[in-house]
Amino acid sequence: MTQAETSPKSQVGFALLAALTALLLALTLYWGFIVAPVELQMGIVYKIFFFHAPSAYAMYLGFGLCAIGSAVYLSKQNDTWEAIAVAGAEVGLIFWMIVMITGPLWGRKAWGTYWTWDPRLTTNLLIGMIYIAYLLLRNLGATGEAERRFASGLGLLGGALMPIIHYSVQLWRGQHPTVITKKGGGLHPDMLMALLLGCAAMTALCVLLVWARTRLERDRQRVLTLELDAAELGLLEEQA
Amino acid sequence: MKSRIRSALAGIACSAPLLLAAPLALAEDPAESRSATFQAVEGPQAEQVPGGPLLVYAYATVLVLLVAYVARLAALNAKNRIELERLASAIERGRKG
Repeated sequence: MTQAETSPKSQVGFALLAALTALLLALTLYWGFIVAPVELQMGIVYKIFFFHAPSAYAMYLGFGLCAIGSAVYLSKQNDTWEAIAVAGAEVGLIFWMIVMITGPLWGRKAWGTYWTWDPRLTTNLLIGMIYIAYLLLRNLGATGEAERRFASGLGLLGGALMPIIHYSVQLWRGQHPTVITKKGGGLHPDMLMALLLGCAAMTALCVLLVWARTRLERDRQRVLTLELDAAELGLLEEQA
Repeated sequence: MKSRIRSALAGIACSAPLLLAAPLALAEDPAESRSATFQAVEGPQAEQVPGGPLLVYAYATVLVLLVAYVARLAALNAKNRIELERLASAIERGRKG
């Protein structure tokens, strides 16, 4: 589905979502930097939290879509769901990178170190490596059915690991903040508002990017189909 | 008798650090306390380690990663469109000819 072939409804929906995402991002920045107060112990650096934690939720969303797409692909061999799985993994990895870079910057101030082998940090590193392997297999390996099925299995494995990451702090008493859980002491109302706006913004951004990337993956699948048609007609040999 | 007294003293000496460490182990870890609550500052307060540069690096990272990914999507889109047009026209020519 190239841009020229997308339906007008789809194009309008995409543009509206893009506008909503931009608005939510601007509101998050305004609330996070202008309205929310400075934190008592960490100072201004805690404002990383307004994009760090929402990026983690967006990462879960992307990887979750990859796991669902992989499961459907394994059961039905549906190309659209495979495209959603690839898009989810790639977008999830972008948010994973944001989490893995902004987290240590916050940790330098809060913990005095960029990295510690905390359960959540370690399990998060592990899930990222699984989806890097998934994308390497999909993009660098052969595009045969066996490779696609194996990659889908990896996508499912990553999905199964997500609850472990989420509950690792409670399970193994890590140092990772738990301010928004029952265990935590809570957030100042303006901090909470900035965090909620950030979550909404990153969720919208994740959906927008997965939508765009899924379209492109469907285009790539169409290119592969046309290449097969051209090969059957003997056109590729002529071009070579 | 003396050896029993010695053994008892040695036992007490060995277990003393453990007994002294117990209250410390039960006390809440400062890092754990910090991970459980965020509080708003009241009044002017100077930071011991300036967090400003770390905050700037973090937001710059978010911006750079997102812009780079959108640029990658645009490049992929352009590449796909060129390939689709080339293959579609080649197949059409092949079927006619």
